[in-house]
Amino acid sequence: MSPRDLRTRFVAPRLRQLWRGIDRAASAQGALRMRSWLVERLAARVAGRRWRCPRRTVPRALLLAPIVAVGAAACSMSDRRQNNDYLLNLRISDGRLLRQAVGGESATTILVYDPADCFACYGALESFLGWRRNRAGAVLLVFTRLPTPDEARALAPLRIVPDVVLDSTAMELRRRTPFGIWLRNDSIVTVDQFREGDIRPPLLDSAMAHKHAALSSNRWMGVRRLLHTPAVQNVVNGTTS
Amino acid sequence: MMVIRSRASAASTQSLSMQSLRTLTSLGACVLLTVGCRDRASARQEAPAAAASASERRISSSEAGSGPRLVAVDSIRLSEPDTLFLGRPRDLAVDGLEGHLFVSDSYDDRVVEYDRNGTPLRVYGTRGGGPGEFSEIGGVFVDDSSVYAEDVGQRRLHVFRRADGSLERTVLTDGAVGSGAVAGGTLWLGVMDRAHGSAVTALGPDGVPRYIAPLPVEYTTSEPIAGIFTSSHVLVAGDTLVVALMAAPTIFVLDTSGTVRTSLTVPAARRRGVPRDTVAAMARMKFPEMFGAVSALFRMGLLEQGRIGLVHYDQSISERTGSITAKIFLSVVDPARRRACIDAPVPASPDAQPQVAFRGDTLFLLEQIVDGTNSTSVVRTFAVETDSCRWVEVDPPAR
Repeated sequence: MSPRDLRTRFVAPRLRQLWRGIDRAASAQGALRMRSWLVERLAARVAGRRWRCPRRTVPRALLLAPIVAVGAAACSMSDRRQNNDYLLNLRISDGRLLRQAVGGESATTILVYDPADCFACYGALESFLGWRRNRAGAVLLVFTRLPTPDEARALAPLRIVPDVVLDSTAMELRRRTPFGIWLRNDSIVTVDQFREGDIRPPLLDSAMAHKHAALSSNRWMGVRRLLHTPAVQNVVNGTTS
Repeated sequence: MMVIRSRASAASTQSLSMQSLRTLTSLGACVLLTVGCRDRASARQEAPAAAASASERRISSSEAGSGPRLVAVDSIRLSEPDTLFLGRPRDLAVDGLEGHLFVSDSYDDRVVEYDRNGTPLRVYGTRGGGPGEFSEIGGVFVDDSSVYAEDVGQRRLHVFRRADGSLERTVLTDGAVGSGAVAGGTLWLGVMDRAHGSAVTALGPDGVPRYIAPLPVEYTTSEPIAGIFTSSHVLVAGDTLVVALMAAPTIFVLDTSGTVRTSLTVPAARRRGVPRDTVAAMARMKFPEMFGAVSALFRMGLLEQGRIGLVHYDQSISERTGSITAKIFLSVVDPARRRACIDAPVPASPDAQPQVAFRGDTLFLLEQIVDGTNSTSVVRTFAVETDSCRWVEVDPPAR
């Protein structure tokens, strides 16, 4: 019995049987069908049938190119994310770098928003702005661009006025907003994207003396990590002037 | 004879008992049927049949005259310190006794009470999901002792004591509360409730809800109408209820048991009105167009002499910026004489997202005036005068 016969007589029927079982289970549960072109391709190969591209006219290179491109982009993005220092070197509208706009506080929170973002959705902003009123320099509100007249009109009643506006080279950031950058002694401790939902700002609560809530909360991991740094502990304990 | 008689009497007794058994059985069946029918009847009462709306008549502006006259009386600038400013006013209520202003603010999810000079006096509620907290604040209304504020996000109504701002109780609702009133120990809530087919939920002292006032047919047949124009408005005057839905042209007058006494369809002159076949028209439209297809009833108030004030918003969404603008119109209806003075333009900035409220014959208008990056909240008051009105006839209900 040749290997081809072996595949045709024994392996292929068992694979088909297995496949039917999977398919039946999937439809019985009403779940998404589990069949994918990769599995089909594998089954066809084992059964001795050559897998063919659904459209023969499309060269494989064309199919592979987006995958390679996405992979490369993801790799470069992860590299970039690992090193967030470039964020402080972004240029702002008056020509300075963002790090030059940070005040002399030992712990600073930079909130980066696009003017079109939902300012009421993340729960934290109003509290941070309250903190900014009390401790100028501890919170920096950054816009990725200047608001349009309509946006400015909508923002005015909310009393949302940015401290700085990034210049147009920071266009790519608009896809990531809103997010926060936490600094200790002018170095980035963490960068966190805001997630919609019931987010309480434990750091802020701490600063406002709701220490218990801050320490027991584990929702905002970036802040939690920051919470245990000496600089923030000073803020929490009110020992920083 | 005696035996025969006794047998006969026994037989007659037997037949009597058989007859009475049959009678009892049929009586029982009747009772069961009656109970069953009564059950069905009460079920019908819980789900009132949809009310027929009449088509709105369109008349010319010259025929309608200029509408009720709005005479500016006062302008109150609300004091807004940095920790207590109004970010996004959602609703305005005015207390009938002292004239205090109550503004629900959906930016900070709380109600702020101001005195007649615009000084903040008290804050009711805060953001959150707990007792007395709002996940998304909605409308507000007041009586002499309590503040009623809706938590749209959690479908409930918080009742706060005005004396100290504390939470008195929380009431669960079956939908968005368009307006409310307290009368005769009952809480009357304008709730557009498709499940019960009702426009008003009445909560008596026992706390058991009664679903009354039928929904207009538009609301039972059109998803866009019921989904976009959700508010139901209710007024209570003695034993009479006045009910109107946000995008239905007909106002219903009912007794407190929910029986419709009459209906009034107010003609449109300057306002957009409601298209003749709204349901079919809506089915052909896309969302931004639907939003601006009808005049939306935003406020209904009880004026002096049993008249009813109606405030309609003709809203538009800018497709370019997504911002909402509105033209506002005031009409006064005299239900006793079946006439109306319609469509006086309310002098509000189209992009100020104004909120309105009535107190007697006074209209209150809350606007946010923006100058650069500064915003000021101002409440202007207008006396509603009908002396120079050109009254038009309101239409009878459709048959």
